[in-house]
Order: sequence, then C-alpha cells, then structure tokens
Amino acid sequence: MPGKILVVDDEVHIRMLLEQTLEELEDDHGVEILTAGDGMEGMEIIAREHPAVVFLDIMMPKMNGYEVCRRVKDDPAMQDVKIVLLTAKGQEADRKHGLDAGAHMYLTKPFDPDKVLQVAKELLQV
Amino acid sequence: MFRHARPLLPRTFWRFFLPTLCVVAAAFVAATAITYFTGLSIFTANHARSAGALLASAASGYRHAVSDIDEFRRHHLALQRAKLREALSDVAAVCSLYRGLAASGRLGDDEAQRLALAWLRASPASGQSEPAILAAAPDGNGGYRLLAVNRPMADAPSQLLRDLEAARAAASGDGLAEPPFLFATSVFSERTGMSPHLATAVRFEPWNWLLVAGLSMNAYKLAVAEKESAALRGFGAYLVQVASDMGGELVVFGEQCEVAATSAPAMEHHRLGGVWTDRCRAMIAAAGKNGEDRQPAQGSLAQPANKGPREVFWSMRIPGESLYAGFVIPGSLLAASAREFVDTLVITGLSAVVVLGLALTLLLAGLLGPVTALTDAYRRVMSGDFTVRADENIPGEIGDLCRQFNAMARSLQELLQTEQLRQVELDEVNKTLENQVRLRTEALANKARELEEANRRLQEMDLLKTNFLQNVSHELRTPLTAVLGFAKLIHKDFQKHFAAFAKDDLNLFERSGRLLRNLEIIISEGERLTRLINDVLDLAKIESGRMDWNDETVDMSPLLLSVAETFRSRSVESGVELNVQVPDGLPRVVADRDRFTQVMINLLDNAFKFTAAGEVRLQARERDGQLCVEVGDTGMGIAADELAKVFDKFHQTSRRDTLRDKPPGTGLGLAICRQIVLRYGGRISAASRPGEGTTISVVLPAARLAPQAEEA
Repeated sequence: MPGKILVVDDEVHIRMLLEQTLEELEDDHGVEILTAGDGMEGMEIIAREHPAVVFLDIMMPKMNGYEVCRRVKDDPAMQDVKIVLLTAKGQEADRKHGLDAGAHMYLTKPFDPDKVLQVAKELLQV
Repeated sequence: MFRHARPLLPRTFWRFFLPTLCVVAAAFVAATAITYFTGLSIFTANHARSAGALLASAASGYRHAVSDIDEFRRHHLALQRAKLREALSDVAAVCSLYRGLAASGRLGDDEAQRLALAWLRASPASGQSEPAILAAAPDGNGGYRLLAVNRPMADAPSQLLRDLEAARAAASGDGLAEPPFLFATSVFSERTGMSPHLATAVRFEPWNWLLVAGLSMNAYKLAVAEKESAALRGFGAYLVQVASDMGGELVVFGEQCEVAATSAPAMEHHRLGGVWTDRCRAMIAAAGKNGEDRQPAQGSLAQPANKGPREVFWSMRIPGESLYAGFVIPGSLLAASAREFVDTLVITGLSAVVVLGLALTLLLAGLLGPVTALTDAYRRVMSGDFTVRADENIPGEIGDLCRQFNAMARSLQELLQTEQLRQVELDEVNKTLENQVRLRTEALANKARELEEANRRLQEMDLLKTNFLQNVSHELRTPLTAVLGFAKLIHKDFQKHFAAFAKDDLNLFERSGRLLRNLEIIISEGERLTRLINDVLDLAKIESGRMDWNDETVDMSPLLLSVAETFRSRSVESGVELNVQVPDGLPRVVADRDRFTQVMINLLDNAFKFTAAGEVRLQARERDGQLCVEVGDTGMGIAADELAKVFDKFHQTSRRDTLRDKPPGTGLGLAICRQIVLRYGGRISAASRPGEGTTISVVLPAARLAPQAEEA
C-alpha cells in the first residue's frame, strides 16, 4: 500500500518545491503528500497520519527538527517513520547530530529535486 | 668560610717547630751514639792506662817486698853466723885456757884436754836457740873421731867434718880467716825429726882438734817465713790500697797460678775452682804474647757459664820474677761507667733539647704572633670591617707587611666610603628608575589590558563574523534552494511536457532551446553561488579555527586512485589524457580524509579547467619520509607575476578570455587547499612556464606510527 509523505518546513517556497517534486509519486503511486509549517504541527500530523517518510527541516520556529526527530524516535508507536533531515547546515558535526537523533538521511540545501525524489522512492520502496 | 676554630698555636709554628725539634733530636741521638762509642774507647784506654799504672805499682811493690825479705834474711843469717862464731870462739877460748894451764904445768895435757871436753859437754845446748857444739880429732885414717858433744847426735858427722875441713882449708890457711858455713841437716837432726842446721868449724891447732858448732835453722826459717808472710800481707794491703778506686781485682800470681797477693782477698774462693785457673792461664798467655815488653797486655774473659758481660783484664810479667801481675775488671763495670757517662750526656742533651724547644716556642710565638694578628685583621676586613688596623710598631719585614696591610685597609675604607656614596646616589637613581618603571609598567599593563580588551573584542567580532557568515549562508541557502530547485523543476517539466510542442515550429523550437539554455545558466550560476557560499564558509571556519577536523591516518594510494577515477569521464569528454602514476605502498599521512579529497579534486579540477589539449598528470611518490603529490598539466601555464598570488583568496586568473566556455571558479579553491595542507604540517607550491603547463606540488609529512598501529 502506498504510504504518506510529510514535508515539514517553515519556508512556504521550500514546501511548494518539495510538494511539486514529490507530485510524481502522488500521480504514479498514489502517495499522499502532507505538509506542515512548523515542528509542532509536524508532530501532530505525524501522530495523526503516521506518514512513512518525513522530510524535516531543522531550523524552524516552535520546535526544531532535531527535537521532532527525537520525539518520533522515542515513541515506540512511530518507530517505522523514516525521517530525512533537510537543512542548510552542511557540517559533519550537524550531520552526526542529526543521525544521532534518529534520522535516516541527511540532505543539504540547496538540494537537487531529482535526488529528493530518488531518496523518497528508495524509502517508500516504490 | 673563615670562621673555623683557631688552633692554640699557629700552624706555621708547628711547621717550623716540629722539624727543628726533630733535627735537634736526631743530632742529639747521633751525638749521643758517637759519644757513647768514643767514650767507651776513651774509658777503655783510661782503664788500660790505669791498669798499666796499677800493674807497674804492683810490680814495684812486689820488688820492694822481695828486697825487704832478702834484707831480713841476710840480716838474720849474719846474726846466726855471729852466734856460731861467738860459740866457737868461746869454746876455743876455753880450750886455749885449758891449754894454757897445761902449758904452765898446772895441769897435765890430758887432764886439760879432759876438762876442756867436759866443759864442752856441759855447755848449755837446750832448745833450738843454743848452738850444738862438738869436738873431733882426726883418726889418722882420713876420718875423724868424735871427742865430745853437748847434745845427743843422730849420726857420726864424719862427712860433715871432712867437708868443713876441706872448705876451711880451701878458704884460708890460717885460723883468722872467716870460717866456712855449711848447711848440715842430717848431723844435727834429732831422732824426733829432721832439723836443718847451719854449721861452721874452726881448728884448734895445739890439740889438732876440729871444733864444730851447729845452730838450728828452724827459728830462722820461722822468722823468715813470718817476715815473708808479713811482707806479702803488706804487699796485699798495698794492692788493696792502690786498687781500691778501680773497682777491679789486682792480683799477683806465679807460673802455676799460685796467688802471691790480691787486692780482693774475699774472692779467695775464686781460686779454688777451674775458673781462676782458666783466667790465670789466659792472663799468662796474654802476657807471654807481649814478651818482655813492659806494657801490659789486654784481654777479655768470658764469665762462667756466659753470665753477664765479659771481664776485661790487663796482665804483665813482673820483670826479673817468675810472677805475673793481672788486673781484672768486670765488663759490666766498664759499661756502667760508660753508661753513667752517657746517662749524664742524655740528661744534659734532653735538657738542652727541652730548653731549645722552649726557646724556639717563644721565638716562633713572638715571630708568628703578629702574623696571626694580621690574619685576624684580614678576616675582619673580609667580613667587612675596614676600620681594623694591624700593629705598625713591629720592626722588620712583618712590620712592613702590617704597614702595607694598613695602607691597603685604608685604601679599601676610602674606596668603600666612595662606594657607599655612589651606592646612595645609585639608590636614589634606582628609586627614580623604579618609579619610572612602575609608571611605565602601569602604563604597559593598561596598554595590555586595552590590548586584551581589543583582542577579546576582535575574537568576539571574529565569532560574530563566523556566526554571521553561517547565518548568512543559511539564509542564502534557503532562497538559493528555492531558486535552484524551481529552476531544475522548470527545466525538467519544460523538457518533459513542453519541448515536444515546439518540435514542429522552428521559431518555437529555437525559443524553447534558448529557454532551456537560460534555465541552465540560472542553474549553473546558482550552483556556483552555492560553491561560493560553501567555500567562504569553509575558509572562514578554517581561519577562525572553528573547523571540525576529522584527523585519521590515511592510506594515500587508494584515496588518490579513487579521486583520479572520478575524473576519467571528464578526461574522455575533454580529450585531455589523464596520466596517473600512483604506486602502491605510499606512506600514510595524518589528515582529514574528506578535506584531502577536496584538495585533490580542487587541483585536478583546476588542471582540467586550464588545459585544452595534452594531458593532466597525477604523480605521487615518497621522498625523505614525506609524501609528495604532484598535479601537472600541459595547459596555458601561469605568468611569473601571477604565480606568487595563486594561493591568495579571491585570486582568479586575469586571462578570462581563454576560459570563455568554462564555468568560472570562486577564487577560493587554492586558498582553501593551502589552509588544509598547512593544517597537516605540509606545504603546497606552484611551478609553471606560461604556454607549457603548470605543476602544483603538495608535500605532506608521513605519519609516525607505532608498528602495531601500522599493521592494524
């Protein structure tokens, strides 16, 4: 069964870019694309919708990406949620920090839309 | 260091005193020894002289004694003869009386002869002191007939009478001559014992009688013996007297060792044993060796059983006598005399040494006292007391020394005072200087604080700059992400969905182609902007020390080969050959793998970028314990004036015309490479000939690993 993909970013243009990038999956595989504007909203949607993959920005108001990632991974019910961190931070220490918090992957802004699509396909196994 | 304990006397004192005392003591010992042996010989010679004198005295004393005895004997013999003559003349007178009576006719001749003989018989002859008288007449046969005798007789005196007659006849024809005297022992001896007698005879011619008188010699002999004895006693006493001071024994003895006299009668027991005989024989032998010389012979005798020192003797033969005189003195006595002498000498010598020592002590103490005082003064000067003065009133060289010392001390005192004045001035100057220094120090401290503050502010600024750069990069990335992302989406969507529509319309086809190229320019410039942001951020981080380095020991061969591999496709596309010479077993280096990969990518990217034809060369080798990597090309090269600036930030080649179709760089690549290489203790350099190519060399020190770590 096709899963859901959640995009969490406070920048509306980035949300739009990701939505449009992932549209192909919606069209071809019936994957539902969900969006959230901050970490708190992202947590609510993750808890409610239980998406298969979450593209998660780090620098966000209310709750940053690391926190969201940690909470998701601390909840036994959401162990199968796969998180891809998206951030402008490109340093090795940040990458490690993110992977420590439970993220599956780490993509650096500016990212290539094709790369995002490829990652999403791999994680959804479609 | 000068305050050690003072000795009672100065050390110099002992240096002079002890050797002098030793020399004196040695001289004293030598003198004593020489004196002892010389003294011993002098003593012996003295004793020899004394002994000679003694022996001479003994000899002359003995001669006196002998002559005394001879005199005595002659005198008594004369008395005896007189007595005999008197007795005979008495008898002759009686006979003459009776002959006269007969001649006068008063008596017959026979009667007269009978009466005379009767008188003769009756004459007293008792005892030994009165002479025996007899009368005899020739018997005609050559013999004599005894007529009368006043004492019974042992034997007929025929032979005596014959001898007397013969002697008388031989002496003189007349009766006035001295009658002969003969010793007649047998005639007058009694039956009780032999008795030596002196006899004489006269002839009474008228009757042809021979009148004989004999007198016993016993009394004479006794008297002579007594006289001899007395003389010898006297001689002995004389010997005792002359030898009393000499301590030895003076003895006169005969050939058979019979002692005539001795100065030590108490030693009589010595004569009994063989000891005396041995001694006597030795003395006789010694005297015999000396012959007739008057000088006494000297010899020595062992004590019986070798007890004690040998005895010394001098002996000589008494001239004209068969007697010897000897003087024996115990060796110990002689040695004792010498020892006594030496003892006296030793006591005197030791006293002299002690007196000399005391004198030397006083002299040296007097001499060294001022020296010690000078030393004390010197010590006080050393300890800083310059007011001390030595005694200047001492005469001589030491006095000169003291005066010189005082002059020196005065100079030192003056110098010290000058120095103290100078010190006061110096202190003043120092104080001023200290004040100035304090002020300056405070000023400096203020300045340092200001600098610290400035530094802190600079650091803050630096942090702000880095944070700012990070924030800016973050804030730039978000819109850049949108721009790049949408450009790529548009490019993709346009190619996928709209390009097909323009195929048929040439005008539309060209337009769509331009649209796509313009979109590619947006994407390319967007990517360049991304690189620029990344490079600026990296450089800022490296320069501010905030870069996170992931240091590890890197095996360079695989790393270089894998980097080279990523450029294979580019080599094929551009037609520039990629020549890789990377041997196995290059030394490992400590580095951040990703950063070093970034360096190599940068260098190879530059090489391809600036090379139109020919080759790009990647060479690596070990040299002197270092890893040397070279990236060379056959490109346009770098002008000499640009070569020094290639590692500067934001430096890009001025010859943009040759790269018109290539994407421009950020101008930070080589600067970042240099920072990374420097970070790991290496160096990077560029060599180039314009038109021929460029070679960039990177040298990194090999990692120093423990063997097991290398194995791992």
